[in-house]
Amino acid sequence: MPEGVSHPAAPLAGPAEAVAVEDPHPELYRLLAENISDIIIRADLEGALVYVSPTCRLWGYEPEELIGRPSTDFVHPDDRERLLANTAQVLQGRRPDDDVDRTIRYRRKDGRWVWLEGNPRALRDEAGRVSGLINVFRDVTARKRAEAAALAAEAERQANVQLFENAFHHAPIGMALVGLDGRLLKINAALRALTGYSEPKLLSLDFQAITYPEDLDADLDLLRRLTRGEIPSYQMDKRYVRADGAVVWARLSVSMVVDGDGRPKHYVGQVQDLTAAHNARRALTESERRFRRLADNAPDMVTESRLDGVLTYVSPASEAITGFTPDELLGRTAFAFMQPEDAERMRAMCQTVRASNGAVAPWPIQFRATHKDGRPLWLESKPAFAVDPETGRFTGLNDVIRDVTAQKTLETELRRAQAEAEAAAAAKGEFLANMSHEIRTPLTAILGFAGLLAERDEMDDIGRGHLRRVLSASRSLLSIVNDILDFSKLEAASLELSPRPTPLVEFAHEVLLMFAPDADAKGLTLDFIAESATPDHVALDPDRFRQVLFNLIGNAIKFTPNGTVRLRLDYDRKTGRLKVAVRDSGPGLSPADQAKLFQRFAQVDGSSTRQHGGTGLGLAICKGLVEAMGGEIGLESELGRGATFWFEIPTPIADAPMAAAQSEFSPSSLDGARVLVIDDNRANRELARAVLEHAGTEVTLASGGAEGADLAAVTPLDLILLDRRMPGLDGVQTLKLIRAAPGPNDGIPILAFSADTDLDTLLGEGGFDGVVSKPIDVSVLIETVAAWIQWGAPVARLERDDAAVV
Amino acid sequence: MQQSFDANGPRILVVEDDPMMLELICTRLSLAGYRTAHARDGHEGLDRLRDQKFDAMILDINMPRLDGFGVLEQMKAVGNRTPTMVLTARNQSADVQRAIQLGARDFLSKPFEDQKLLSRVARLTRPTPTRQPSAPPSQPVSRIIW
Repeated sequence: MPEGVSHPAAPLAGPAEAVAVEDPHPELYRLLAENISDIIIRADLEGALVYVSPTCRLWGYEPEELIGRPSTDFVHPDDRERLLANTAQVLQGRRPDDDVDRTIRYRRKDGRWVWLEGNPRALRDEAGRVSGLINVFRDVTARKRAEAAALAAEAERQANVQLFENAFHHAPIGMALVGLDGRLLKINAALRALTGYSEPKLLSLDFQAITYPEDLDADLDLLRRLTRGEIPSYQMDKRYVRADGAVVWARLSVSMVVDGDGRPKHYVGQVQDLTAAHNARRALTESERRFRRLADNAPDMVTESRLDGVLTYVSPASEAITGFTPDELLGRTAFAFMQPEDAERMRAMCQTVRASNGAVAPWPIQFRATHKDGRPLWLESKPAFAVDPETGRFTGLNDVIRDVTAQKTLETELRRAQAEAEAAAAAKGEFLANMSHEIRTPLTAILGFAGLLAERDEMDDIGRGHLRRVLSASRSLLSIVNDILDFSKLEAASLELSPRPTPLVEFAHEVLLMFAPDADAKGLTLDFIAESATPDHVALDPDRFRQVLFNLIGNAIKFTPNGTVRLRLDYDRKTGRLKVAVRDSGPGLSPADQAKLFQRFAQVDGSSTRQHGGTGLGLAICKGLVEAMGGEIGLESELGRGATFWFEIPTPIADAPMAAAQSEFSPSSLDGARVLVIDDNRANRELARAVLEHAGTEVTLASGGAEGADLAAVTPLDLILLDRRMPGLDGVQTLKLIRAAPGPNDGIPILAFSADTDLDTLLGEGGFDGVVSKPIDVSVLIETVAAWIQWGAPVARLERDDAAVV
Repeated sequence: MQQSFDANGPRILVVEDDPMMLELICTRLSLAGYRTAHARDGHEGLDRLRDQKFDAMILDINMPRLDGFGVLEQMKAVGNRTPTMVLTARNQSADVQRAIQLGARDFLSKPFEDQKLLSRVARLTRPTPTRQPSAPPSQPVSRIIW
């Protein structure tokens, strides 16, 4: 027995030359060591190799090159610790633990690593001390590889299982392993959520129990076919009954898992919740159905068309509206049914909206079309563009088309009726104007001849009395006719107002006093009150103001049997409005009568017309005049307590054109004369006007030479007052212009209106006929003008040569 | 050619289709010392103007056959400058403007007062001033030159 070899399974080995101990069967050992594939080594206490069996040639080494080197030189660095630990145990005389890993990687000569499993044993000397160790290595590389592969396979399997578990449990769709009997073996969270059951509860159920009864047969049928191998898997949309009883729609996918022998083991089911999708689809379907229902039942015609106008949907109302059924219209373009110019407008609208990219909303368009039976139609389109929600591009046109033929016809009729009414009103106005003219012409004759008659000396008193009545009746007839004409002008809004400074209080008082004879005849008292705020002069049209006052006071006197008629003026300086009130102590008016009062042609009752006469236009004219002056008119009255008629008009305070107007001159001398005053100074113009108008003259004003000459060219005048010094055209230039132009006034007297005293120049080279000096002396002005327009007796002038024979 | 009737008053031609109006105007003018002739429409009026010289003419605007505007146009065409006053309806300012553009020197709207008729006719027949540096026709002259 070799020394130190304590184990028969680890025979001592070593080359004879290296083994110092006596070897009784050296050849046998050598043979053994040299012919087994295991490698035997012996190492000393320091770990240096003392013997290496020739099998080391399997690694590419010769035993000689290994002897004396520490075995660790050839050990993989990772395994060195382990090797040293194992070796240390052996060297300490202990047996290495059986379960210790004794596989070590050694480096072959070619550098590759081989796995060797060692079986080290201690070598002892005669004294029983450990003197080294012997190790038998077996090449376990193949085994190691197999082990590694098995480990890797197991790890992969584990990973796959983990993966499956993860996928199973965290899948967003419901998953279940289902036994062949339908029992749920394994379920995931999504399925729990879908069904609303807890895991234990669900695992106690089978899928049949949670399937909506109506869907069960189909499911079972498919499952049978799957089990028989007729189909590899199946998929169906089915309903489940949730724990709370609600029904959910889901898409079920089932496949079968078989065991190694191909026998069915269980099923894998995947359940996708379709509730949301299903609801959405149902909502869509419902909304489509609703739309169709609406479209189909709408009295309006609903259409859808492509961008080129081709109709892709037409609601049944088309038949009622156009006579064409939807089928007859589909595929044709909407434009084809419109009149060309309407189609153009429609196209233009579409282009505008599309060009604006939707910034401009489509607007309704009315167009003409033709009914199937040929009658013309008016339709109204209320289009909206269909837009692709993804791209925002226009995809087509939706339209709601309404039959507006009746409306259009009505509009046309209304317009015609309005035009007719306007024409009638115009005709009425014209008729009134004509009639008043036609009546006036004979009236003129009546008045004229009656006047002639009155001048005859041979008339007796009775005759004169009759004649006075003829004249009086004619005058009142004339005033009625004038009323009518005024009224028609008011209606046509063609009344012209010429406001000018008017001495308000004095003016109004004079108008009132004109009624004194009538009031006296009835025993009425006339009262006049001007409140203290009333200004001396205001700007108003005195003729129109007088006309209104005349009417109101006249009415008050006419309808008041006894008592007082009071005229009251009040002025609001803040608002610049004048309030005039005429109060009577007559019978008053009921509210119903008051309402009728300002209407034209209306008198309070027929008997009143017979009793009091009149056209019934008076108050309507007053109302028109007051409104034309920008004011308002009204009354306050109570039956039996009299009435107050009032009107209020805006009247700016005006500068008094000096006290000059208060002239003592008789106005008759200038009555009806027409004078043009040309002066750049407004105060002078107004003063001259005030003076001359007071004397009965019709005065026209111009503020400059050019304006004056223009007026003189077209307005017949009796005399011109012309300021000498003016900017622009001065007096002399203006005079020459007027004289030179052939016209109605080329021969009339022109008086210089001047502060100059150089009369010779004015009358000589200047060409003026006379002079009125400034500052104005009222009496001089009036006398001078009167002197120049005293035509006197007719003067024969046939000697003049300008009346050439035609 | 001058017909001496009972006065040397100016001769006035009255053209008016309404016989009452015509008679009224002629009577008025005669009483005031004018001599009058008349015509009942525009054509007749032009005939009269061709036959005689008149100091002035009163011409109604609204007449059948040839109206006042027509007469004025014809007069203008042949250079007849008889001073003319047209008779218009009330407030027909457009008619007045048109007549004046056609050469009328004055207008009178119907109905009119005697006094106005007479003063307008007097204006119409007043001799054109000689434009000498002369005194005005009546006494206020002394007050003007002051």
